[in-house]
Parts: sequence; structure tokens; C-alpha cells
Amino acid sequence: MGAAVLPLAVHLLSRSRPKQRLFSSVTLLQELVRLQMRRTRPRDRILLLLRTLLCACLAAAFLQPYWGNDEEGDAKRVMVVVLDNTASMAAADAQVVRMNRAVELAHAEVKSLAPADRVNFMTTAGFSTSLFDAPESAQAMVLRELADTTCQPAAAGAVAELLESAAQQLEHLQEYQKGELVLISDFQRTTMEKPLAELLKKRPNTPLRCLNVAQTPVQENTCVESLTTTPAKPIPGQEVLVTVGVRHFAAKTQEPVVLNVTLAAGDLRLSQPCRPEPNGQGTVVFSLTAPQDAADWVLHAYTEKDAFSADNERYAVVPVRSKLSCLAITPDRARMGFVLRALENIPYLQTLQLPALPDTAADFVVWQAPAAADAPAIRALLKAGGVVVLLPDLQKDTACAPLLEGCEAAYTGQLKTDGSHWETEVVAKDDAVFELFAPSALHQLQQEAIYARLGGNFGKSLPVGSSVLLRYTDGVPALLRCPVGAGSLIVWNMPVTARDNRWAYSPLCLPLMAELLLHSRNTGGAEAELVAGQDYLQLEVPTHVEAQTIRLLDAAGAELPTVPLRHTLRSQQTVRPGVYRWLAGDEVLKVQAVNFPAEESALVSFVPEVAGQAAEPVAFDAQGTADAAKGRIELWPWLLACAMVIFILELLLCRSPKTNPTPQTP
Amino acid sequence: MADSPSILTPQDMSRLANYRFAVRMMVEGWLSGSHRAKGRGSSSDFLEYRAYYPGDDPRLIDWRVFARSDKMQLKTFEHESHVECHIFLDASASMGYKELAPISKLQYAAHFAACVAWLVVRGHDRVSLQIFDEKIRSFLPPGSTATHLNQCLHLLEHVQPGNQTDLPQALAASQRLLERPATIMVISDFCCDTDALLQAFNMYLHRGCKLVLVHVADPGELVLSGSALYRYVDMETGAAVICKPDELNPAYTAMVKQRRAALQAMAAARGMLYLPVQTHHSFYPLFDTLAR
Repeated sequence: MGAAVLPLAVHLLSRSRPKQRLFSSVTLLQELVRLQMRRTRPRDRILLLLRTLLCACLAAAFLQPYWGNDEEGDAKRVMVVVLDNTASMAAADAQVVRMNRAVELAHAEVKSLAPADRVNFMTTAGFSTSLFDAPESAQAMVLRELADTTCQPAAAGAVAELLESAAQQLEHLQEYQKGELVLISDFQRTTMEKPLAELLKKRPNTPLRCLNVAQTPVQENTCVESLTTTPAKPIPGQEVLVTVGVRHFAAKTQEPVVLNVTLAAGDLRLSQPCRPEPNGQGTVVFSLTAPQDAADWVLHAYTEKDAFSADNERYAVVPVRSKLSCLAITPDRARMGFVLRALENIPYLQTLQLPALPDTAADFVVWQAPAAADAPAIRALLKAGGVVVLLPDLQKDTACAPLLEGCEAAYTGQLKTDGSHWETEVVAKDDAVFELFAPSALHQLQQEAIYARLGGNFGKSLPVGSSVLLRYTDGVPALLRCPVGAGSLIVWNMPVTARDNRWAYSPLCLPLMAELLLHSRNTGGAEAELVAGQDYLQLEVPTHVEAQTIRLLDAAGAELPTVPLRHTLRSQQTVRPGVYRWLAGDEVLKVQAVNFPAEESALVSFVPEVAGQAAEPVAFDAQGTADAAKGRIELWPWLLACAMVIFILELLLCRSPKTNPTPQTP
Repeated sequence: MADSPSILTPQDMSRLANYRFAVRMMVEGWLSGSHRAKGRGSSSDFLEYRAYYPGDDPRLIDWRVFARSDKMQLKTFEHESHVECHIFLDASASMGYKELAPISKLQYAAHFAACVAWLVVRGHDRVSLQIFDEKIRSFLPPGSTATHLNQCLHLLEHVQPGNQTDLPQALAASQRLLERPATIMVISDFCCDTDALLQAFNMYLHRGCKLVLVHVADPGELVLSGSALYRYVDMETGAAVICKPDELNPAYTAMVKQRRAALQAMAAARGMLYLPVQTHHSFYPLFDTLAR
């Protein structure tokens, strides 16, 4: 109303005050003015009307009126839209990408709201996000955010907490308000089933509406599930076994498939067929030689591209080091005898003798006479994938029993004092440790006299997977290896001094020790795999490099922004699958690989049931989408168009020439 | 002489010295003046025959013509009479208007009337003065003496703008004051109804008076000046109208011209002398017209 009165007010206030002038007779002037007004008054009135209408149209447009039926009457709606934008939503389903369908459904839901209704928007991929803390009357902002939302190559993060938060936002509404939690997803069994069940169990009265965009319950898909190397940290030229795990999700019972798995390592390309098991899992092993350069070695395993190609490849970065670290834990060097001497002379080892275990990790730990109290630390080392060599106290050992048998016990040492000695024999002749040794050389070693050992019950009960490499002729294990966690535990049940062990004088002792350590490493020790959408790329800044000179580049060479955190640099955002390099000038500091979240490869959807009603897949139908938004016609564009037309008319009228009255001829 | 009117300056008198009030203004007077008036009188100069109507003086019937033609004809003769000039001066409020000229219309008109009065008296003729607005404010009966002229000039010198114009009313009221036809000089801005004016003039025309209409106008009345918004207030009625002069000027000028042309045409149609004059021009050229 005020806007409509505005032109009149402007006209009244802007009128200039006329100057007064005496005149002999105003009769003629009155007649002329009357004639003039007869001509201009209609024009002026039309102008005033047009300007009033223009202001009224503009003011009305800002109110965003609409025309349509509102079944809710005056009831206000409060809606929380939770959109699943995880990696599985990028799958093409019935020739339409699930994410596109989901965005259009979300768009239609938001458009169906009245201007006064409130809405909030949440996404589930990676670090789940919420646009507002509580629903707001900001449909335009939600629609803009929706337009910018894309499918992330990430798994769902904390879906249960997200749904809980969404349900909480619909509590404490007014009586006239109607709350609605709209969950738009492909309802992947691995990510949505459990959180949804938890929500419905905890809050059965949640006004939940599920829109299922998965058209097929099980979609055929192949993914590269894992890519590991044995050992995890090879030395240059070492033989490396690369194990590629693949999985095939079959849509229906069909003939067994044969997958072609390719491994790329630098310029090398190797392919092998893989026939997955009935459960869909398959493994292919490649044998490679680590490069001669000590650097990060990038391995790339892939299969043929299918409809969901994001998970058809995997990367691994294998650190090839010329030197592996070794910690010799002994209070006195003499106590470690010739073993320490051998360790210090092994070419690929960088050995450091310390009296106690430090906080830093090492590839190998050789521990002389540990106690039972050291068992937890040893287990932690083994769990992290390290190789621990125990040199037990040959008088009485308390550390081996908790590690080997899982109980508190002690092994008693034995000593030959009657002039006799023990000899050893090779048990695991096919073990890689003995590969380089000729049988005659080993035979010679076996005949070397040994005068002390752990006896009694030692070796009677060994963990599963253990292998006795050497044993005494009476059956007591002399050298055994047990896989524990991701690492290996080696027990050296032999003296380490020359007085009690003639091995000290054998030239085979050092190479045997070297082979023993080298071939006892498995997949353990590898860095934790980085998952797209969840993990950030991090680099501990070396002391010789300035942090400002370090850049993070992707495979295409594009630079990514980083954030400094204390002594590390971190990528500003989570990244997509691929290989990334940290560079300081031309020097490559580190190479990191980010892989597709494996759980998103299982394109198996379930049909959620809410209040006894199953949310069947929503067919993609443009008309249906339009119908969802029907019943409401926005009038503001029409009002703006009217205002424009009125403005043009007013301009034309103002520009038309004024005609002054002509005197009437008598 | 104390309080002698100064409306007529020596320059005026010297300029008017060569003028004589127009012979053609001669009308019948009751005294034998210095003008030969064309009218039926009692002199010996035969003028013409006319038909006898019942009521005419039978002594004027020419019996010889009756005997010859068996029709009764009357003789008419020329006679000498005084010229009487009656000046009607409009002293309404509108005559006080002054815009672009150095003096107001009333001052201009009064000055002109003074000159005419002086000229008439100098010619030994009689002049009367009627100053009017909505009614006759001042009336000086005809006279031809110097004293009479002084009185006339005194009135003219001290005339002030009055109320509204009603010229027809003034003319109608003056009719009974005039005993015989004479020269009627109306000096006004003629801001009145033309039809009523015409009707008033007809009364004098039918009596054989000669009318001279001196239309006094200020140049500011003929062309509107200024481009701002003005509130024009009528000096007589107080009515007001708000307008922009530049927007109305073309139409106004045309309308004024049209009115003046209509007035002139009306005067010409009835044998009146119409003399338009603007107050920033000298009025002496008018005497050229009057002298012809």
C-alpha cells in the first residue's frame, strides 16, 4: 500500500511553489489553462496510474506471491532433506545416474514448500555436512547448495549421527507445524541399513519419508578391493610379491566370470586372469623386482571399466629404501655378541644400539634378554608390522612364554658342562631364508657346536602359522619364526657369544642373519591406506626443507592448497582417488596414493520400510517431478514482467510531445 | 499657479500645437461653434429634400415641389455647431497594471486623455470627462473654458485604479447625461464582455455619436514572459490561475490577437475608430489618426 502511495507522495512533495504575479485579467489565462488541462489531465492521470501500478507490482513481487492450492491450509512445513552423495550414487542405474535423480527429487521437494516454510539440507559423504544448524526459511539458498552438490568419491561418514541430528531438528515444533525428514538415497546395504534401523528403533515416531533412487537392488560391479606387497618396504632389487584382491558383485546368478587384472609398475605392465570364488572374491599375485632406485614405487592395479568405473582401479605406493632401520636393544654391546656385529655389518641395515626401546618405530628390533614386562611393547611392535628378534636370556627367560603361548611362564636354560655340545639341523629347507645357501654350506653350519640354549617346554606349544627354521637334533627349536599381527616374531634360541656358540666363527652367520631378517618381513609395516573423502594428505616437513617451498601436486600436475599444522603440512580438503606428490623444488619428498572406499563398491540396495510401508524405488519421470511441484504457481515473475511493461509504457508516454492548447476559432 | 496640474507638460503642449481635433469628428452641437456640422439646422444653407412624415414641421414643406409632383417634401438646411467630445476613462483595477512599460496603463491613458482634452478645448470645443470603473466615479460635464480644462486635468492627474471594470454599465449610465450626439472617446483596456459592450455602443451609435475606442495595453499583456511556474492573480477579481507562461504563450498571444482583431472588426463594422496602443509606445501617432 505504501509503495502504491509513493508516486503520489513524491508528486505532492516535489511540486514547486509558484511565484505570484499580478495580472490585469486572467480570464484568457483561465480559459487556456482549462483547455490545456482538458488535454493533459488524462495523460497525467494515466502517468500517475502507471507509476502507482509499477510501484505496486514491484512491492508485490518482493512478497513472492503464488497461486495454487495449499492442502495444508495455513500449516507450515518444516523439512530436513538428507541427500546421500556417497560414491555409490555415481552409479548409472537404468541409464540415469543415481545422483542426478536424487538431486532432482530433492529440488522438487524444496520447491513444493511455501515461502514461509523452513528447510535444512544435509549430505552424507565423507564428513557429513549440514547447511544450517536448524531449518530456516531459505529455500533459495538450499536450492543453490543443491545445485552445487555433487557425488563425492567417498563413503558415508557418521550416517547414524547425521540422521539423529536431523530427527532432533524436527522435535519441538509448534502445533500447526508439520515436520518431515526426507531421506534421498540408494539405500546401500553396507552404509544405510544399520543407521536407518537404529534411527527407527530409537525414534519410531520420526516423520521419515524415504525416496529410493536405486532402480535395481543389486547392480553388477567389479572392484579392485586391495593391493598389497610382500614385503611392504622392499630394498632395491628385492623380489616383491604384489597381491591384488578383486571382487565381483553379480546381479544375478550367472556363469562364473573371468576378470583380467593388470598391474602397472612404472613402465612394466603385467596382466593375469582372475576367476573369483563363488563369494565373488579373487586374488592375483604378481612377482616383481623392486627398482634399483631407492624411491617411492607406485603400483597401479586395474580391471576393465564397467558401469561403475570409479572402483575399477587401485594404487599403492611402496617405499623402496636402500637402508632398513634396526634397533638393537641391549644395555651392553657385549651381551649381544656376534649378533650385534653381524647386524652392524649387514649392508641394507642401519643398526642402532640402545639400552631401551625408544618411541620411534623401526623395521627390525633385535631385543636381547627381554623380560615379561616387555611383552606388551613387543606385541605392539608386531601389531604394527615390525620384525622382532628375541635373544632370550638362556638362564631363565620370561618373555617368550607370554608371546608364544599367551601365558605367564618361564623357560629354563640348559648348559652343556660335560664337554658335549648340541648341533642344529635345518627343518624348513624350502624356506626363502635358506634359498641362497648350498646344502653343504648349511651342513657345515649345522655342525658348529652350541653349548647353551633354552630347554624344557620351550617350543612345545607354538602359535598357528609358526615355522621352525632350525632345531636341535633332540627336537628343541633353535630358530623359529611366528607371524604375529602384521609382523613376525623370531626367537633365537642360541647363544650369541663365541664362547657358547661356534657360529660366531662361521662366515655363514652374517648372511644367514641377513636372509633371516629380509625374508621375515611380510605385508606389515605398510602405511595405512588413504581413503577418498575421509583422509587428508599429510607430510612431516623434513628439517632440511622450508615448509613454504613444499607443494602438493596431483597426477595431472595441478597444485592443491595445503594447511600448515605444527611440523606437518596437510591438504586443505579431502581428495579424490589418485596419486599425489609432495615436492620441494624438483625433489620429490613423498608420494601418496588415495583409493576409492571399498565399501561403496557393493551396489546392493535394500528397500527401507517406514511405518510399515516400503519405499519402493522412485521412477525417474520428468512429468512426475513437475507434478510434485504442481499446485503452486509463482507469481513474482509475472509481476516483474508487468512492472517492466508498465515502465516501458510510462517512458513512451513521458517522451510523447506535449501539445499546448490552440485557441478556439469563434 | 498653486496646484496647477502637471499631467500636461510643456513638451506635450508644444507637440500637440500643430494638431487640431478632427473635422470629421464634427457632430451636431447646441452652440454655433467653429465647425460646420452636417446636420439639419436652421441656417440658410439648403442641404436636401426629404419626404414628409406626419409630425414634421409643416412650415418646412416646399409647396412648390408639392404642386409639381403632388408629393410633400421637406427642406433641410446645414447649421454650425460646437464639437463635443466626451472622454470615458477606464480607471478600473486592471488599468493599474504595469509590467514591461515604464508607466501603468491608467497613467498612460490619463496622459492621453489630458492631451485630448487640451486639444479639444484649444479648438474652442467642449469636452467632458467620465472616470469609471464599475460605475461612474467622476463626471465633469462638457465645457470649453480654461477653468474647465484645469478641472479636467486635475481629475486626470489624481486618478487612481479602482474596482472592477464595467464599461457597458458606465456607458449605459452616461447615456442620459448626453443631450446630443457627440464624439465619444473610450480609453480602456476593454477587459469586459464584448457582447455587452457592443450593446452599449449601439445606444450611442444609434444616436449618431462617433465612437473612438482607444485600446490601451501593456506589452506584458500581449506576450507572456517567463518559464517558471507562476500564479497569476487578477487585479480586479482576485481570481488566480497557476500556469507556466512559456507553455501557454503561443496560444495566449494568438487569443489576444484574435480578440483585438474581433474588437477591431466590430469597430470597423459599426463605423467606430479603433486605436490600439501599447504603453511603451508614444501615443502621439494616434493624433495623426485623429487629425485625419
